Amino acid sequence: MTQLSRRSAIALTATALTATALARPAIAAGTTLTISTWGGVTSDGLRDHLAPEFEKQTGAKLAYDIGGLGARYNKLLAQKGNQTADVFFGTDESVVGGLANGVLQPAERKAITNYADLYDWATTRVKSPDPALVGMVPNQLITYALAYNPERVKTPPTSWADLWRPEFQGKLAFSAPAHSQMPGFVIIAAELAGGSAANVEPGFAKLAKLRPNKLTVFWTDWAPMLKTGDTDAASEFDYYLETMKAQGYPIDYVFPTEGAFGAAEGGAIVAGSKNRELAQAFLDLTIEPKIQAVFAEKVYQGPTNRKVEPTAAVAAKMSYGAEKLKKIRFFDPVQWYENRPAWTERLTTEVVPEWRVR
Amino acid sequence: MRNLPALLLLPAALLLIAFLVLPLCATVWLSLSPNTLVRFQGHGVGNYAYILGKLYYVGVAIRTFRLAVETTGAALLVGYPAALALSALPPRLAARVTLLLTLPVLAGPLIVALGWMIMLSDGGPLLHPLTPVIGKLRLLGSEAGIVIGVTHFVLPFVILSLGGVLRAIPPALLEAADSLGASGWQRFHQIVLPLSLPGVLSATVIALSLAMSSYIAPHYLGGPADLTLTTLVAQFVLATFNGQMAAAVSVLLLLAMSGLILVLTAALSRRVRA
Repeated sequence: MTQLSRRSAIALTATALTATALARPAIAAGTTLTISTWGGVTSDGLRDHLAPEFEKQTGAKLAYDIGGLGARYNKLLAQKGNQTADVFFGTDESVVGGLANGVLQPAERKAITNYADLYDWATTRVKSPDPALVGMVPNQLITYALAYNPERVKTPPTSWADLWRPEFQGKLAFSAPAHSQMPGFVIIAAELAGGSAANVEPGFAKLAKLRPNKLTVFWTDWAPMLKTGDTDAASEFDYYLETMKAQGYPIDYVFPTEGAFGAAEGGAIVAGSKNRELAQAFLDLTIEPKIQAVFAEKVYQGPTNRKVEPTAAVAAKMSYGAEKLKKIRFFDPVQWYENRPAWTERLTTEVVPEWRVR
Repeated sequence: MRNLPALLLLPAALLLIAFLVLPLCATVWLSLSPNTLVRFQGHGVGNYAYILGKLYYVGVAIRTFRLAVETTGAALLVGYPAALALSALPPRLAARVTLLLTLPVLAGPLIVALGWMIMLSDGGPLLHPLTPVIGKLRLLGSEAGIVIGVTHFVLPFVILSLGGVLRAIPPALLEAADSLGASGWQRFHQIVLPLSLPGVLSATVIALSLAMSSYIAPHYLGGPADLTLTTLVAQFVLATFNGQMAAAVSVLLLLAMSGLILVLTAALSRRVRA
């Protein structure tokens, strides 16, 4: 009995200590941390599944600055030196750019207690020259894949080269030059045409031979055309494709042999934020296993934390697991950031006019 | 108190300077700065030379211009008879119809564009029933789609500015012409049309400037393959974060628009006077 109560006393003390440790910036009561992020499922997810825990732990409140990545990134550039947001969510490429432009700042490695549990592919996305610092805290993985209408396509595609199949010409919904994943196609097309990631020149001519009939930036751009039979194949993110499946669209998708494009997204601290400590506590929470498990289950965001083990049913619907990861290719976000302006212009002025699409 | 008129103008002038002139100066200054696409030292006209030196961008400018002219033409063709009919209505009914006409303006260009997106889509309520007759016609994502959407949006402006002028024509003139044996066509051709030319001019200027600067319809009803100057600006800003090139294209659009309107005003006012 004494033994037991001593044990429970130790347990109680441990719990109390943990609770104190978790309540880190107790100074934060009354403070508001502003998160710049995407709207819809992303901000709703934060509000419903993360905010209560964050407020309990820190006493601070969360506010949201919602918008598309481009609009929010422009806001950072325009408000440099007098920012309204504390944390910015973006793609690995946008964080690389934000750090280079001095609108984002790295977090302290030691403040992100869950960082050691992240997958290597996640932590190597944005490289930090200083091991004590972390450029981006990656919290989710989505994948850009090759989709097709199984009711109309007899032989399912297996490779990105299948985009050039004659049957898909004039029946293809393809990324617009402004799409976040477009640089991946410049590289893939170059490789298919004898070039490489280091020599993308042949990629532009190869892409110009495609005949997409719709250029897209969001899944709703082309989804109606799938139903009318105007589009039989498309490039799209896996988690939008899962949404379409759930809504009864005739759609299936593959991760092609050359690799589907892994799009790691995460949070970074806005340069000049007066709430750096609080921002770090928030970022740490975004990769906490329990929180990541909820996000995986509710919005099919692939986890970045190794300790998250989704059920088979949930895992099947998102970018997760050794088998899928083998088919996911991660490009160099620094190369994308440095070349996007020139590549986008070449695509707009040389490739799209050849497509004669709408 | 001789300065009173100037003093009364001051608030409006200050407002204009703060919210129009200063941002415009900032835009011009930005457009003269180097960027990731065009590199040069200090400030200069490098961005302008770059844009005007590329056939593709000149093509975008020509498309913008062509769409604006087509839209204005369509809006005048549809709007003139409508304004004529409106001016013949009893005043109370005319007021109600005018209110109805302004609905698209009140709803805003986004609602108009989204409505046309549904109407013009391949399987949509407009084209689907017609498919057996006209075959597969594509309007959404084409220049025709843009013209339809923008025309619908500028039409109320055209009708209202024409209507004011048409109503101001004294009925006595038409009665006199009638008593002198002029036919309906003669009355229209020799009295109504010449007297309504100032209205046509102002309607043209309004329609052209609204059409050239429209962004929402070209974005939603056109697409990345049919860029106009406004959607090109958006692509520079949103996709490649190139504010400098976006500023240069904006200034070019503004110059083209101002030039066009100046020429038009000069030409038409000479005709009106003659």
